[in-house]
Amino acid sequence: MLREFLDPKFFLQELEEVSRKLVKGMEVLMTLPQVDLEPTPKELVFQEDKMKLYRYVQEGPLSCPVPILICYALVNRQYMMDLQSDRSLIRNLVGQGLDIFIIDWGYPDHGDRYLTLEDYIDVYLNDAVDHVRAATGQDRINLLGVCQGGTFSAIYAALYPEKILNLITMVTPIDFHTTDGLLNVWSRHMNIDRMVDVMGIIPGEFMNIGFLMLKPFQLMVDKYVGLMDNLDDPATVANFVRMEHWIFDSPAQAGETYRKFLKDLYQQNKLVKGELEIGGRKVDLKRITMPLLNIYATEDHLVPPASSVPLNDLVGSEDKTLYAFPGGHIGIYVSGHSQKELAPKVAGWLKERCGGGKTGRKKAASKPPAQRGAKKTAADKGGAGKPSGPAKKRSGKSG
Amino acid sequence: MSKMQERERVMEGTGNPWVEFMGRWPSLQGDIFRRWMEAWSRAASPDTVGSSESEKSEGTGFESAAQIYRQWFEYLQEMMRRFPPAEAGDGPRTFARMLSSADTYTRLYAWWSDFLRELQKKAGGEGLDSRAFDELFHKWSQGYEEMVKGIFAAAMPESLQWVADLYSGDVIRLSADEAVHFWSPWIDLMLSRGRKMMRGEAQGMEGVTEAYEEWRRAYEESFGRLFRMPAMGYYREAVEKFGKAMDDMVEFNMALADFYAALAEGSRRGMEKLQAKLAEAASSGGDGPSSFRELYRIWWQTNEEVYVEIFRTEEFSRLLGRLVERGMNFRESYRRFLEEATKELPFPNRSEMDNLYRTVYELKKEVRSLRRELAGLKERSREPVEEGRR
Repeated sequence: MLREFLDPKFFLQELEEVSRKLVKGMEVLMTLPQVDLEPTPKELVFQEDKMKLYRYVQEGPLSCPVPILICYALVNRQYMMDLQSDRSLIRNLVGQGLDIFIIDWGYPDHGDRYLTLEDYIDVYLNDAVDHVRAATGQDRINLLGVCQGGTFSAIYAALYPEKILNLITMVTPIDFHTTDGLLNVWSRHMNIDRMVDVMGIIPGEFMNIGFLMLKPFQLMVDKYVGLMDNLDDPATVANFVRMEHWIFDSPAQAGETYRKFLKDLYQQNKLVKGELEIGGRKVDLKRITMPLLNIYATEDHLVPPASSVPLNDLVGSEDKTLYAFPGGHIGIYVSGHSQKELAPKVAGWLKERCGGGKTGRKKAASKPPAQRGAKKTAADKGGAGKPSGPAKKRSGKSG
Repeated sequence: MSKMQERERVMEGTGNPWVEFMGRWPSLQGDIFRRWMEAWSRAASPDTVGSSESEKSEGTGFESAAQIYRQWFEYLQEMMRRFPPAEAGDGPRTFARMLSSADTYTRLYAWWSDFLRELQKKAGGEGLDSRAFDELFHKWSQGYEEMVKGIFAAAMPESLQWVADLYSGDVIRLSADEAVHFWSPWIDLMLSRGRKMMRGEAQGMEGVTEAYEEWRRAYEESFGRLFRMPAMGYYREAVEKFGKAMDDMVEFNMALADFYAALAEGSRRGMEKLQAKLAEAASSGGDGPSSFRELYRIWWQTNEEVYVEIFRTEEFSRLLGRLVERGMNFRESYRRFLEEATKELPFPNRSEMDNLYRTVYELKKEVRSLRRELAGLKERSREPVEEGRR
């Protein structure tokens, strides 16, 4: 070891090796075409302001007549769940015969600074739920919330239990006063009012600094050093770049929503205390009486298990399942283990509980779109949402 | 004509910077590595080891790994500058981040190599006791801290760019205020210091904090008084708001200096912990890391542990909160100044737009509510009326 450092030959070899890799990196990365994202076909079926609701194309028979609505976080983008065809929870769930809708919250700009948590839950999420109910003829639907979207979903299920048949939460923060997560610790001394008053919307870059600082050496140095070793493998490079695209594709946060989420939840932990109010109504988690599947990642550094696990003790459900996935916050969607295990787990759990959703709604149900023959709709071109028509596959930002 | 020359000839003059660069790369690499080999040959000769500081300063001694590394990286960056900017897509952006990581990786090797060489010289010459080791380690670790700080700086400047951009010449010109022109060189000086610090170019963390303390005293005694002096005339409000912004910038930079000092503390602790791990491996009869890559792995994982420990403390959390709050204060007071200074220009400012946004938001909410009410009424009007109420 010592010899390696004292002999100039080794150092030069190392420099030469790094130079060679960098040149290779330039060759590969500087000429890399824009990566494809969100490969699973879907249609835009409803739109309200910047919120868009998509329905995935289902070519096979449905294994469960009750649809699933996926509610993702406002932070980062929902296509993490459908990053590429061989790493796609969505694709796997569709493959399990499920009828899936997903919310895309869009990219808030300064004009959205006054949007509140009430707007997201009582208006956008509620309207999306109602749209799914109407489109499928089901009175009650399955709601699957991811990360912050899981918190939204738990709040929603407590406020509107009559509309939800089963609740699934994934890597969802519920108890914000754990000290296991750095975000929980840092948020306590942040002057949130000052931030929102001054910035209006919280820039995505600002959020990203915080996320990168959770693991500075791994996320800012080592992963790129690792990439240098894999430049000869086009598939690995493309996968890496897709993930990079997602990591830095961070929407800004609507100021008033951020204010309430950070102050009421991160700082005052009101959800757990039963003190959170949405539109003047107290959010009582005991009103969640439908079956609950609470999935957390054992190595999650963003939402530590200590923040997710308590949900099972706070709800009123008798049928509740706590499922520990061995991996991290992102690995739960993209790891090889996840591809094999997670979708069958979710689908299996749902299939056992999907019988009781339909209660004879008046509106005619529509079937999930099949890929062939799907047409582009007015909604897809920016008009208000009515079903049918495939969504454009986006690799960049959309409003 | 060799194959290489032929390739260069074909590639020259295509007008494509990528093609031209790739054509020239091998020969440029060859040149720079040849120079380094010569320097290292001198360094490795028995006469050089143990040579005096004066000999080295005269250029007869060896070039340190750090110096060679610096040349290499500057050269590499010079080459990169010939390329289109990184915003061209995901690939180029990823490459820019990879380049930054290669910088850290290679710099670590260079510093480590220098440290061990110095250690060997001391051991072979004056002898090495614990005090000598500590001195050497302290001297070496200062440079190392700068490298670690660079890792954080790579994430910071982009996101804190608004601090720097606020004082670009454009903004100053926009105000067209002679008083602002008068102050701008001083501001530029301040800004350049801040930029250096963010890029990791400023020397030593205590040095930075100290420099800001001194600077602040000077500011309080000079411009600070001037900025707080009651202003008069047409520009009175703009001048007062500018003074407030300057005050807030000073406070922000003080917090920023403290923040970087905390990061430097992390690099010190990280290195101590790494030393302890390596010493433990040696004392237990093991060989320690078998390659630089192995050492690098231990290095980054050790640092990660140390920084997470620091980040988890109440103290760091408060520091971060103070940094953000002061940044917000500065951002707001500077915006107020800008709005005052540009109020005669024919475009709406942020405050005016915010009022408009609020109005639009409330109107949309009202329209939504009215639509729902209307839909409810329509629904009810379609329901069959009961016999008795007809």
